[in-house]
Amino acid sequence: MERFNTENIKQNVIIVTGHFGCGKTNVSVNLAEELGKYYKTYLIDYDNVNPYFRSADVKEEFEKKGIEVIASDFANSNVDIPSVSPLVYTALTKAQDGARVIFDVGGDMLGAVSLGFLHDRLTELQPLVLYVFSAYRPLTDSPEKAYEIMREIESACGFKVNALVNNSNLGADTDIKDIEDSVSYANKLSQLCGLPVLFTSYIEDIAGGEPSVDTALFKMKNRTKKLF
Amino acid sequence: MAKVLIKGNEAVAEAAIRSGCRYYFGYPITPQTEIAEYMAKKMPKVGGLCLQAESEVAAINMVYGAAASGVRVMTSSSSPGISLKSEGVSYIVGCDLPCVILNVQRGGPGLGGIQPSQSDYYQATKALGHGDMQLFVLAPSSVQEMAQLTADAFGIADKYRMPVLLLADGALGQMMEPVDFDMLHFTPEPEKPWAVNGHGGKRKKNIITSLFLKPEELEANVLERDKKYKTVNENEVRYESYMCDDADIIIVSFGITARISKAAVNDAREKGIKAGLLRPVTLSPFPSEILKKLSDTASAFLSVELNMGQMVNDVKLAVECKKPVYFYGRTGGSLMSSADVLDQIEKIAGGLK
Repeated sequence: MERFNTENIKQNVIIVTGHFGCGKTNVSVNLAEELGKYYKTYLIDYDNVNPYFRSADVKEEFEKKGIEVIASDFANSNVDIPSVSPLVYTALTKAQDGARVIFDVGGDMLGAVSLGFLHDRLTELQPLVLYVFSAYRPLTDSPEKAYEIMREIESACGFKVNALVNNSNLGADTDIKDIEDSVSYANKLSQLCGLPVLFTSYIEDIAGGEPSVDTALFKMKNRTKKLF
Repeated sequence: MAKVLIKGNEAVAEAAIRSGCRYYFGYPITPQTEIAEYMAKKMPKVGGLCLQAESEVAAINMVYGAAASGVRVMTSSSSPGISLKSEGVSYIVGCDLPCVILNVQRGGPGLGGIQPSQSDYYQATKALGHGDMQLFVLAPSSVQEMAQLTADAFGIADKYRMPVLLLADGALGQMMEPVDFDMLHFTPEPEKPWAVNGHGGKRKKNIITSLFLKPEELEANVLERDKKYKTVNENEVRYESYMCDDADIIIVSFGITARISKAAVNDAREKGIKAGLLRPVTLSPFPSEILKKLSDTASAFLSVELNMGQMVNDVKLAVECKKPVYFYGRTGGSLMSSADVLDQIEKIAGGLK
């Protein structure tokens, strides 16, 4: 199968949106790790919705690799307030000089709305806006529902989605058949919104090896924080 | 919907809707807000109502009213919010009304924190409200169980006309696991001839109240309810027994902690220590009988909890001082690892030799 090459992404800023619980954080973290091999990379934990599982979880590890992780000062603390780090502006300035910046945005329109205040600044940088989806989440169990949420996200943040990411998975229970079965869902969604599926992502140690799909594949590490 | 990847909180909401719950009243608080969000999205599509009340107190009183009208209804909150509901819960008990309440526990006391905890065990099992009262308390341990026990809770609530409290924690609420909703079993909603839903001039009017003007009447009412509690205590105890038959050291642990403890039991067995796990699924009624029985064969008990030692006292009562009962816990939002629990098992095993 064709491998997705992150160097094919020409934009310096990647905005990772998606419906709640589709795996945006895992996709963002893995994209950052890959891009970090070639570019100065900033991973921005822009999730103001999820209190427990977020990009900030990899901060310590990534900073050893030279990947900057920018998160709210209150991420993973007991202060449960939505806030944005001022360092986001630093990252965007660096993006102008060729650095790569990945925004891991919160789920649904609720998570995407806070992109609004960066709208003008981000527009100048012509970002790549991704919409991550999973066919195995209860509120997006049909492509039509996933499409509806995509439109809500677009209207909340003021950006049009440029490409889709198929991250269909059942957590630790995922096998390659689950991913292969999601292809017809992905194609239907792609048709509905008239956008390409940039890649299908899967976790490296998945049962059954490598899935056979009609898009490029992006092999990821499982970066979801283990609670115990 | 076949198998889906779902958060514990969402699983409760979906299972509630599938159980015929059409009324949800709540107020947002981390780490359980996903329930209200899910309900808000789905209830209108199934002809139900999800209402964000002006406070937790308002929400529980809306549950009180809806339950009196005979519908399946639920509310959810997290520790501080549950404390606010306690007056309403007592009224619901006093009126013998069925409803489901979920507590996705976080660290306390006070505003505490937003990370997982089991420090509301006393509140849940002893006194979530004033008066001679008991709740039915279920403690799920996985996302699949969050769904199944929610379905069970509605059946139990209707059967005994009492509130059922699901005692979960932030970890169970937030984590995602695959759930097959087609595997769930549901209890059909019974007729509710006692409901205040309009007599239409065709029957005697029903009155639902927790106010009794004569002390003798109140006493009779409490005595009558106490018979119900005895029936519940005799018939509804649930637990999971894992490698307890030949165990020297039995860990007693519920909810998320039981999963960590189970891993520790496996590790201990590999090291040649005969450990076992007794996981209460019902915290009230508490599985005292089985613990008493196990105290004949086991050498020691270890209660593992995310608090400063609460369930350990129920274990002690059950064991009746026949064997030593130890405690190990973390609190304030921190989880223990299975290695931490194994360490405790080894310490006890070392002392016993």
